[in-house]
Amino acid sequence: MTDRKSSRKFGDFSSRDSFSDEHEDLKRLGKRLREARKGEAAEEEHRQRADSLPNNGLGVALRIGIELVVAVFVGAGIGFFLDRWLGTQPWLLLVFFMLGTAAGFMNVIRMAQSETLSPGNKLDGPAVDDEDD
Amino acid sequence: MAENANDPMHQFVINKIADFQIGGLDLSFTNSSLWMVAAVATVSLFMMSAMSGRALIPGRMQSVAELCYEFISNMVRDNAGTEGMKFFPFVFTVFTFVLSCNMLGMIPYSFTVTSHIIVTFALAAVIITIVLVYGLLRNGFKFFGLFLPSGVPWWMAPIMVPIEVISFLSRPISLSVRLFANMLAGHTVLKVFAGFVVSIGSVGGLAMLGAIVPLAMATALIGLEFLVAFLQAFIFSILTCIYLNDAIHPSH
Repeated sequence: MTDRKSSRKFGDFSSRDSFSDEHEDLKRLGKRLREARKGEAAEEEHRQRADSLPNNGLGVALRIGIELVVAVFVGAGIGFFLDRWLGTQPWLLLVFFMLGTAAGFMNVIRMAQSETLSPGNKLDGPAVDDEDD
Repeated sequence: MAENANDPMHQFVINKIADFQIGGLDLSFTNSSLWMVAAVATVSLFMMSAMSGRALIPGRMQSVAELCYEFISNMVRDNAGTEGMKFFPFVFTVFTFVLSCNMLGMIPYSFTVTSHIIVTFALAAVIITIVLVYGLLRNGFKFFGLFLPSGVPWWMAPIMVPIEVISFLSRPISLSVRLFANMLAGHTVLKVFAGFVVSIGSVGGLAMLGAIVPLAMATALIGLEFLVAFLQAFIFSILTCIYLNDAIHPSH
């Protein structure tokens, strides 16, 4: 209210109509921005971090599959190369194949339990447990 | 050439543009390198031209650039905390590079850089190296707490530690395989359906009308591929943030 008056005075002072018009425009834009932000904030609250990763069925299925298979391959690979190095065929391959399978299942369980459906989160709690919020 | 046109995998062939060898290493400039340079140039030119005005009220281009910035900064802050913001330039670079590589790959006759696993694996290796080095520098020995979840009894350690190590090592691989597999599969399926249009269309007569079905399918798939191109860049960068979060807060 007082803002409006002072801006007009400022516009007169600069003796350019376009300047005061621009100022008014800016203010109107600011008001609209604030309104838009309010709506956005409400929407944000509604979504509540659930949108961190897109959770469409096919994408989740593909992610789970890759997560499971890759861990098995990594485990088997580690076992294979340790075997070759230490000459203990085939025992370490078998052990690490099992461990890799366990790691794969753990990845999948973590994905399923976390809100964000992303691999690599710990079993308990949400993905981020930050100090500042 | 005629048989190449029908081969759905022909689009992934790497051709040397300029031969260049150093000490037995083949460092030739290939079509892959060319499209990587194109991706970097596209992002750089877009960002610089969009932000050159530095207007208080952004124009159309500047809005897009600012949207991009806010999108990534929110992603980093949500997933890696405020402290993770020091990695913002890195995550922004990864996102824009992968996104522009994927999107440039959607141009007909272009080359999709991210459909080669070595490219995505190199990106993932850089990410995991940063996570390891930064995690060790910042947290020292405590970083290895990542490999033993809290609440696990000590006698479980001989089993849990190898499992956690395998789980950690599988991250860069699943990260790279996800991006590469999506791009490779999508572009191959697109080519296969486009190939159906040609082969049914060449039959002639009334049977040519059958080509409408794969044509419609290919059109729908192009839309889907644009979605996948964006989604995979998004997932790649959000997982980067989540892994960086582990380097910053390893005890969780």
